[in-house]
Amino acid sequence: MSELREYKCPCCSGAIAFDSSLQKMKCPFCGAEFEPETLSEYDDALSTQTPEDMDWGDSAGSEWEDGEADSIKVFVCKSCGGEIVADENTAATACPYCGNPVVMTGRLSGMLKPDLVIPFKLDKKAAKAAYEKHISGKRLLPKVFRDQNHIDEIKGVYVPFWLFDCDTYADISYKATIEKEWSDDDYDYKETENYAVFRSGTLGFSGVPADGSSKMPDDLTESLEPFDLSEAVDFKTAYLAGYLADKYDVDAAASEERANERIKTTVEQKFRDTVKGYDTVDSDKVNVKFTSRGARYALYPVWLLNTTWNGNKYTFAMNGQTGKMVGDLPIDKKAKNLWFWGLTAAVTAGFYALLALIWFLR
Amino acid sequence: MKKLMILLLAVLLCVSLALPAFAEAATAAPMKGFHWLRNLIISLVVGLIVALIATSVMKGKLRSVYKQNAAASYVREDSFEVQKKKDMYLYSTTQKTAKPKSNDSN
Repeated sequence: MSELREYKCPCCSGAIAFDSSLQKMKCPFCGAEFEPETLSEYDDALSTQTPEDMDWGDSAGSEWEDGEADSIKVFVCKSCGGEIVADENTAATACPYCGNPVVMTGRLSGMLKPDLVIPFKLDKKAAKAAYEKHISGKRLLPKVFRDQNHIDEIKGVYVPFWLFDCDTYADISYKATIEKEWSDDDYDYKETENYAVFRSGTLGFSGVPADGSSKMPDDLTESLEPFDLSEAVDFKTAYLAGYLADKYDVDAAASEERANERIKTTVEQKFRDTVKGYDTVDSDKVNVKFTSRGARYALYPVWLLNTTWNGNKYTFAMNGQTGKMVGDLPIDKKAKNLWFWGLTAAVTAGFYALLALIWFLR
Repeated sequence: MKKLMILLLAVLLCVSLALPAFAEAATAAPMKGFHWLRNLIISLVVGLIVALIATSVMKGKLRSVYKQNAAASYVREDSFEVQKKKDMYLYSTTQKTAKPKSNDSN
């Protein structure tokens, strides 16, 4: 006696039945026909797909050793609530996020010791030069952004990041089609062949970053990537000298979701690149499982400049290791309108003159 | 500087609008048949499109912050391995569309 199994139609998920006249499985809902072996193989392939498991477990960072944190001072900004740390010899007077004064609150507490730090590779001079290059040629930018006194306020800050390392095992199923078209005297034909495609395998990641500061917008820090981890060193308090460091306020657990999203997207893209020879490919089920995982707490170097214009705050950041500069700049509406109408008038005049000349010379 | 630019553009516009009249006067050859209104409208549309494209490009240069949706830069070298590969044919569907027939009325 063979096992009684109810199969679902791969096309419309309806309950499928054996059609004795065709000697094939036929779906009474959508009319699709299949060989019985195909259905049983497809069903087996789907049911043996590895379930998803993207849980990170323990978090990163470690406890400070005795006396290690004594030389670190904590400052608080009364205006935005930001907490920054600096070594005992560095004076912090203004908040790098909102520009208002900060006050020292005391000794370090409630902060893990970072595992790694990428030391600043580019100094303040390089940061200012990069900023000036970033704003040059931007015709619609308001004047305040070019003011030298303001540019001098650029600050070097170590931004906390959670770094995620993992080995993944992915089990992915796709639906793919090959299309053929042909015609005869009376009709146009379009045949669509439907395929179920399965891929599974491994992919490893190292240092996927998610920022641990709620004051640094995620899209800003992500735009600064990549940071080169090969230049990272074990954390020592001495690296803080001369710079400020942001105390993390988003813990590893809260950042995991963002890291998982990015990891899953890359896994899907990598395996999809191996599905070739079809006209259309759509993901059906994407299951990713961690076979090994770990998280680290790191400080990455960033030069920050905040500019207020028209009641809005604009943050510019420069990767303190690679020099990459990012920051959305606002539009000066008056300048934009001048350019728009000016160009319209100029091009209209020029084009009209051209039309007249062509007509005249014909 | 801005006022000078605006003045210059206004002069340019007036000159080109008057160009057909100048040409006629200078050469005694009539610009008859030159549809000045239609050509002006065409030129205006072209001007607006060019200005729109140019200011959009200038606006685009001001944006540099983007979310990173993937983690491709963090993939470990030699860690990618496809262990199972299965491509299964399931079924086919065929669509048939009748070709329009032209009726000969003559």
